[in-house]
Amino acid sequence: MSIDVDAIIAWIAENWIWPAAIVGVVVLFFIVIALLPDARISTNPAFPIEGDEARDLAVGAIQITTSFGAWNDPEARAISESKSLRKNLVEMWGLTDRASWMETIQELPERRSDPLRDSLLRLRASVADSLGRRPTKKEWVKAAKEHGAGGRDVTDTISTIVALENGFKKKKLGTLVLPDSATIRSSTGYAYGQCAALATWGVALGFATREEIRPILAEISARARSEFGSWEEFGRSYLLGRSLRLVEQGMDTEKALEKADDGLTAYGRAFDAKRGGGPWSTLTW
Amino acid sequence: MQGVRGSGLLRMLGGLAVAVLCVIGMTLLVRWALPDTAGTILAIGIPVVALWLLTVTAVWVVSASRGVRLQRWASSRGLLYQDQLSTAGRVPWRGMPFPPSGRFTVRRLIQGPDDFESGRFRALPTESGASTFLKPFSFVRFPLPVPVPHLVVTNRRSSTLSWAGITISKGRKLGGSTEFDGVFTLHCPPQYERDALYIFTPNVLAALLDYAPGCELELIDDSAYLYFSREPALWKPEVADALLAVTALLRATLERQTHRYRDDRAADTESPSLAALSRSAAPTVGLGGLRLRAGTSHRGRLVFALSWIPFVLAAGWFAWTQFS
Repeated sequence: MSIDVDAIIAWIAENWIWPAAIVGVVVLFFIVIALLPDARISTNPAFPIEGDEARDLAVGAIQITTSFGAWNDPEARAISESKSLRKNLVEMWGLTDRASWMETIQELPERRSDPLRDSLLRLRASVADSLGRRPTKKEWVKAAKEHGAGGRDVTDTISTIVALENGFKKKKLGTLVLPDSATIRSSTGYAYGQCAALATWGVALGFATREEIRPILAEISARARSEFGSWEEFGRSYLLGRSLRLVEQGMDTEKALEKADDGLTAYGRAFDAKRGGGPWSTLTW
Repeated sequence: MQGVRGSGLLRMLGGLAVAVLCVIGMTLLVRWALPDTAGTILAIGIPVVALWLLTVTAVWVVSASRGVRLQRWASSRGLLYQDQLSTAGRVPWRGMPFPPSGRFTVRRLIQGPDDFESGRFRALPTESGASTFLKPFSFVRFPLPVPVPHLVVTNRRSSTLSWAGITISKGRKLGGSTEFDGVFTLHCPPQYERDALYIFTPNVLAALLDYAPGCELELIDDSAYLYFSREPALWKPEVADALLAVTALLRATLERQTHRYRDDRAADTESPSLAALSRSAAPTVGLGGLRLRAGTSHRGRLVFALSWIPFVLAAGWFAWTQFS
C-alpha cells in the first residue's frame, strides 16, 4: 500500500482552515499558560500577614502549605475542620496528646540531625567561604579526606547531596532555588519548618491555644534566624533537608526529587517572585 | 497479633496445593509419555518428592511456631514484632556490616518503645551481584545519649564482622592497654585513641565479656550495635528475656560512660558565619572521628572468589566442548 502524498497536499490546500485552527488553538493554549501568573501561596484572610506572629509562622510556610494549610493560620483551621486530615496527622506523627505533641516539637531538631551529614555540610560551607564559591564534589571529597573523613559513608553522603542539588537545578525554579553562587550550609531548616507547622497543628488537634503556641513559634523562629541569614538560605536548607529525609526513608534520589516538587513550588510561591506578594518577599528575615 | 494473614500460612497452604497438583500432573504425563518405564520412575520419584514436601512443610511449621512464640513474648513485653521485612532501598541501620542500600531482608524484627531494635539481617543479591557474599548476622541496636566517635570492638575468638565480609582498614587498633587484649580488639579512628579508652574502660569491656561473650560491639553516631553470628534462640522466652536484660545492662554501662562525652575537635570544621548554632545542630564529634573505613575481609574475598567457581567451570566446559 502506497501513500498518495499529492492527494494529502491537495486535501490540505482545500481544507487548510482546519489544520490551521488546530495549530492555532494549541499555540494559544501554551501562550495563555505561559502568561498566567503563578497561583498565590494559600493565605487565610482571617489572620494577619504582617507582624511578629506572621513572621514566625512564615518559617513553616512550605511545610504548612504543602500540608493543605494557609501559611498565616496559627490555628491550622484546614486541619481542625477535616476529620481525615486530623486522623492522618495523628497517625503519621503519633500526636495522641499534649505531651506527645510537645515532645515531638522538642525532639524534632535532634531527630532530623545526622552527625556525619551535618559535619560534611559544615565543612563544605567553610570550604565555600575560603574559595568564594560552592566547591565541586571533588573538592568537597578532598577536603573531607584532609579532615580524616573518608570511606563508603562519606562518599555516599556527598554523592547524595550533590545529586539532589543537581536535581534542584534542573527544575523549573532551579535558578531561583539554588543559584550558582549559593551553597547550602545545613539541612536544619527542614526541622525548624516542621516544628513551626507542628506548633499550629497542636492548636488544630486541641492540645494548645493560639496564645500558648506564640512563645513556641517565637523560639523556633529565633533559632532559625540565628542559624540562617535570609529566607533564601533558610528555604534552600529546608528543601535539601526534606529531600534528604525522603532518601533516608528509602527513596532513590530521582524519586525523592519528584516527591520534593511541591516543596519547590511552595518555595516559589512563598516569594511570589513575579508579584512580590509572598510572605518571604514582604516580611523581613 | 500476626494472625493467619501475616503468618504466611495461606501462602504455605497455597504452595502445598500447587505442589500436589504438579505431582499429579507429572504422574499422568509420565504414564502417558513413557508407559514402559513409568512404574520405575514413579516408584523412585514419588517418595523423593513426598520427602521433599514433608521436609519443606516441617521447616515451615517449626519456623512459624517460633515466630508465633516470639510474637507472643514480644506482645507480653510491649514490643512490636515483625516476622519478616523484605524490601529494597536505603538500609535504615548504619553499622558497618549493613550495606547503605540495596535489597535486604530482616527476620524476627523486634522494636521497642525506647528505640531498641533486634533482628537477623541478610543482604540480598542485587542485579549487579553486589552483597551476595555477605553472610547473614543478628543484631541488637540501642541509642546512646550523645553522638560518639566510631568505635568497634571485634572479638578475636569469633568475628561476626569478618564472617559478614567486613574488615576495618586505616583505623587504629588498641592493644596492650587492657587485660582483655586476648579477647577483644578495639578499633578507633586515627587520633581518637584517648577517646576510645575514655569510653571503653575495663569495666565496659568486662560487662561485654560477662553479658555478651562472643558478640561484637560497634558505636556509631548516637547508636550502639551488638552483633551475633549465630541467631539467638529468641523464641525461647528465657533467651529473649536474657537478651533484653543484657542489652539493658550494657546500655546502662555505656550511658554512664558516654553521657558527658564531648570532642574538643568538633568545632574545627565550623564555619565562622555559623557561630551561633542551636544546641541540636552543634557538632559533638569531629569529622575525622565519625567513620572508620571498612574494607572486604579475607573471608569475604574468599567467599566472593568461590562464588565465581561454578561460572568459571561452566565457561571452561563450554569453551572446551566448542573449541577442542
